[in-house]
Amino acid sequence: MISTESDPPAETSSPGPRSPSGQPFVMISVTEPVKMGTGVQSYISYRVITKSNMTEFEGPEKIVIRRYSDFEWLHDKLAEKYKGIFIPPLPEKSAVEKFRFSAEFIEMRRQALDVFINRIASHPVLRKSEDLRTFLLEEEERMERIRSIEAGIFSKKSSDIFQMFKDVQSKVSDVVLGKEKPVEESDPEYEKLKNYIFELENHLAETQKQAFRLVKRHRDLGQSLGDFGKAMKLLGACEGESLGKAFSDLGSKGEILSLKLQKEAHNLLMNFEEPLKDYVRAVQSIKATMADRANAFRQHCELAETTKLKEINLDKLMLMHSERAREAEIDFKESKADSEEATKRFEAIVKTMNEELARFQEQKTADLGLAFHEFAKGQAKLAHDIADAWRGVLPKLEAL
Amino acid sequence: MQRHEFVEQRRIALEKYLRRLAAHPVVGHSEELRTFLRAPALTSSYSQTDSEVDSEEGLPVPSRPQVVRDGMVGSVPAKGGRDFFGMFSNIKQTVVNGLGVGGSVAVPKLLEEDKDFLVKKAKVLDLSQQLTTISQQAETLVKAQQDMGETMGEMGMTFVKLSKFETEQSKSESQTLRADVTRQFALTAVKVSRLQRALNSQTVIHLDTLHEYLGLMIPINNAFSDRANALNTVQTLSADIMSLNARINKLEAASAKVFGQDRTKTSKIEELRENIRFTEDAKNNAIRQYERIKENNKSELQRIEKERRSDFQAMLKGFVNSQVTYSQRMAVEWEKLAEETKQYARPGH
Repeated sequence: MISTESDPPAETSSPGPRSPSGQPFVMISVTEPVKMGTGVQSYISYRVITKSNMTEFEGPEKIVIRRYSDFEWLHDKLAEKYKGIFIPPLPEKSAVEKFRFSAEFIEMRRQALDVFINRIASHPVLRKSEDLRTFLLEEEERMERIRSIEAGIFSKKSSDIFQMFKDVQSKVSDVVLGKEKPVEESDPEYEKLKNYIFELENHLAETQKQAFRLVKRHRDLGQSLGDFGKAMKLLGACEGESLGKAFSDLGSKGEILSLKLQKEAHNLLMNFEEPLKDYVRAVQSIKATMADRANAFRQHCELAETTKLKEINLDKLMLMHSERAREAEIDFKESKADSEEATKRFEAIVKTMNEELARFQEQKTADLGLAFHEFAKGQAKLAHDIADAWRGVLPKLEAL
Repeated sequence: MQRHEFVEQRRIALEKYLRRLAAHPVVGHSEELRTFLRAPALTSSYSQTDSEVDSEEGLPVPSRPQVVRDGMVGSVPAKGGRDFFGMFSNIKQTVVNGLGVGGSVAVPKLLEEDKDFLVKKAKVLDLSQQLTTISQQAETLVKAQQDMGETMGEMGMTFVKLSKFETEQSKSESQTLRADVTRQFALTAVKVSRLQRALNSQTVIHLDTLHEYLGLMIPINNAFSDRANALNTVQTLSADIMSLNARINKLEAASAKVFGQDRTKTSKIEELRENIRFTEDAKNNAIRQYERIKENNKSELQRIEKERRSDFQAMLKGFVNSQVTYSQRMAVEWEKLAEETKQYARPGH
């Protein structure tokens, strides 16, 4: 969603325009996952609904069908064209067949894709992208054609980039020019930033792991409480009389609470663990941008050096009144232009990165704050429900 | 004595007893005995196909002690066992009536009490089955609560680390804010994890009662075995006496046909009468023993029953109270955090 002010404090999938009518807005929903095809060829298709009062988005409403690969296409296009910007991350592509289409997985993916597309639509620069419009508005057939044409080129490119930035800090090696010693920025501030990002990813991965474990604990506690409840009821039937009844009541409460625990497990998965995973992905997106920056810096250095060499060569030729001087001059001028271009590109990335970083920090404070708030609310409610349920049996127990 | 020894002894004794019944001129042809030996579904484990034919007496005899399990006669399943026992008693009644032998007034009472006792025994079996199940489930529950507390605490610590990291590296206000809220969350999680673990310690104590009473099932079963054993001894001795009398009658009938005195037969009869006197003594001892055990059984069962009820009541109250108390405290902690993080809530919530 777009608001006319700065970005919204939390990016969610819940609809509801925040801007008063009259202001330009665009609101996108990724809905209704449907399994298409069979066996290995099967995939999930989603209904993408764009609501807008802007002409660029063919308002008031436009509906298209998209699949994960289409989202991937959009992501890769944006990553290619908008260097320096932290492209909103996609949910993982699933490699495991069996797990692929569990209801939970589908829902998590749908939610993540919804967040993804809305983040793009609310980014001051990305939302103007032509590719975004293509994604939101094109007919399915055209979309498929566009996607498959570029698929070959892209898969190589994306994997290249991700391959390279595995160790951005030390080895942004240049295979093409065969240079062994990496050319790196010597900016100490930037160095600190790189360290921060790498360490942050480790911390976040750890928290995400624990969060996932906590989800499992809720499920297990729910299961065991339910089983215990059943056993209580059986014992109650055996005991009979008022004591037996007390056992049965307790058993029923156990079963009720078991369901509540399962529900909370799901809530934690969607509203706590997933946001943490998302945070990790966002950090990985920053690392990708850092790789881009490193490449741009390298190019800027190399071209600057090449230009310098050409200048020296030109001066030499001019002194010798050589015929080749003219050719050399053209060559030098070209090189100079390229070098200046490369320098501009690099500087643009640096500037954009700084802006993006500020945006990122604010965004993540809001996202994490919301996640903690939701966690607290969910746990408070669960604890209350547990207390209330057991409290309900007390009068009967006291009467025994 | 060891269980399997006991079972084997019981089996042999039963087999002997059945043979004697079959050999009896009256009981051997009785409808009750025939039904008992032929009916396939008397107990779930009695099977005609498993029996071998006793060539000497021409009657099928169960070759495997299938009706005997856990040292408790007729304990599996309770219903069939009841019938089995009832059958035995019926046969016994027939014998007593048929022979008019020392019809102790105690015999009819034997039947009634047996039925009462059998009802109690069936209940105890049912209870022990339920206790086994619930004891297992209680273990699982306690472990799950433990794990929950542990993970909540560990998770809290990872967020403490994250918060410290962000604080150290902070270059903007939003970062500092984030570090702060992360720390608040982390500390709450750690606090709650302590509460969860404290609750679990309480739960362990309370639910221990279940394990305790499960353990009691064994001595109770043993007491039942003692009783059944004693009853069997009485019945065995009674049968012995009957057969001895039968032999005397046989001998007397035979010697009546011969004129004059037969010294060997006379001395044999004397021997048998001696034997009977001796066996009568043993039987009376056995009856006293059996009565004693019955009394003990009864009073013990009553006592345990009462204690169990009150212990279970206390267990339930304790369990519920601690759940309520600690859940309340946990709720309070989370509510505090929810309040502190209100500013991050979704607008309109």
